[in-house]
Amino acid sequence: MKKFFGNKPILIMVIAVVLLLVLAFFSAGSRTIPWVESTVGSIISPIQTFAFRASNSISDFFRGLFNTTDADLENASLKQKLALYEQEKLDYDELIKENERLRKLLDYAGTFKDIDFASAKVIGRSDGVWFDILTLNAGRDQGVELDQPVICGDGLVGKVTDVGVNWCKVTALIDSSYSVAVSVERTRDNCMVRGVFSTSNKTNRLELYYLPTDLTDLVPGDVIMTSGIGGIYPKGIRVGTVEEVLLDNDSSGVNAIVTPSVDFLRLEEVMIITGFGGGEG
Amino acid sequence: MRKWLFALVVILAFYLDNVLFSLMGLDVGGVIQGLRPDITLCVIISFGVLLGPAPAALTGAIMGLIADLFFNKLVGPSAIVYMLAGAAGGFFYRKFYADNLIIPTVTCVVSFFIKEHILLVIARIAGARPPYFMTLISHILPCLILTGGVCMLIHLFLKHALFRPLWRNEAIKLD
Repeated sequence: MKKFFGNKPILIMVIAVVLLLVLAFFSAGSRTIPWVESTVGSIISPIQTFAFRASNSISDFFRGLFNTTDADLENASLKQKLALYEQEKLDYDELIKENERLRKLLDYAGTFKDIDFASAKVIGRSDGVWFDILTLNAGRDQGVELDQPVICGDGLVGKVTDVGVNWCKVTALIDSSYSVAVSVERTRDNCMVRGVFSTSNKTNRLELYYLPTDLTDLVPGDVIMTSGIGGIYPKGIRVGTVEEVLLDNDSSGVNAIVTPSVDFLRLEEVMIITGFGGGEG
Repeated sequence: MRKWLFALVVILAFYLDNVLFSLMGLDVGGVIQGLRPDITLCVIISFGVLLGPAPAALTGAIMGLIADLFFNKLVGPSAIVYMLAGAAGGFFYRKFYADNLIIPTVTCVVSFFIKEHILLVIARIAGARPPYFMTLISHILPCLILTGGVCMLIHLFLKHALFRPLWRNEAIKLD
């Protein structure tokens, strides 16, 4: 024991591990980020924004490289020709696309009554497969608070779980520890959805559960929306579409598999709902 | 000059792991999923073997903390793993020839295995239900092999680019 305490490097290491464990314990769950973390995040946030945007271009390039179907190859070839002859037009197209995405986002947000929102860009994603966390470039300065829902033009993205001064972390809908109260648009049945753990980022799925199985006629293609129960999410935000119905499979408690309406791999602009008063308009 | 190269390698590793690879997890034939190496781990362990435990552990703790703060659910787990990995790599500092690729590779593979299992436990505590054997076979083991291979290349690169004096039995200095 005396030898252990006499060994300074090991002692420092043990103290560091204990401190980090305490930090991990206190950082579990939703929280407002303390000023030290927030300041570090604020310094890194602009660099991260630039790096993430650059990475999107690199990732698109490699994605194109691995696409091998005829249509993909033809598309890639056409894109290459377009890039060669119409570089300026590409920039213009990019602006048009961004404009379309933002317009779609605004139109979607406009379908909700009395909604206040802050727009943000996705500037980072969790590494590894264990969690689905997105980092956004909006924080307390933009009115962002814990547990506020995040949407994009296609539907629900997730909710804010950590807030810094000008950045925040969002737990995505597809995170396997995340669940939302929803309802089936056609039958108005209330139920829940949760993320399904997947090691691939291309096969995002949700599980639908707590459905009153004896009273429902759920079919593939049914649209799932937030029910508004719990008060965190406004009623009527699109969550996904039923892909497969498992009503007989009651051992797992899962009633259906749902495809999320949001393409999490290509998510760029989002809106954080900072306040809402009514349901879908 | 070496300080700048050292910083550049650290920033590049951080960028590749947390920004670029987070967009590009590669699926191979539907069996191997989310395949990507842990560059940060490779760099930290290589630093440990070449520079000693203290700088490697410190670099690991800082890189892990920033990654946790910005991208992960909890702040701490990556910092602990990277710090201990740096110390583990540093345990072999000047005990073996720097040319030895087995030491950093084995340390890297073991550290990666432990790191993924710590994250798996945290994911389970958070409420996720990852199927263990499927995840082990389709994700952890392929990534582990890839990380081990990348560690060899990174160690070779770092030894040649940053720590050439080690060949000549000179003391290692960062500047």
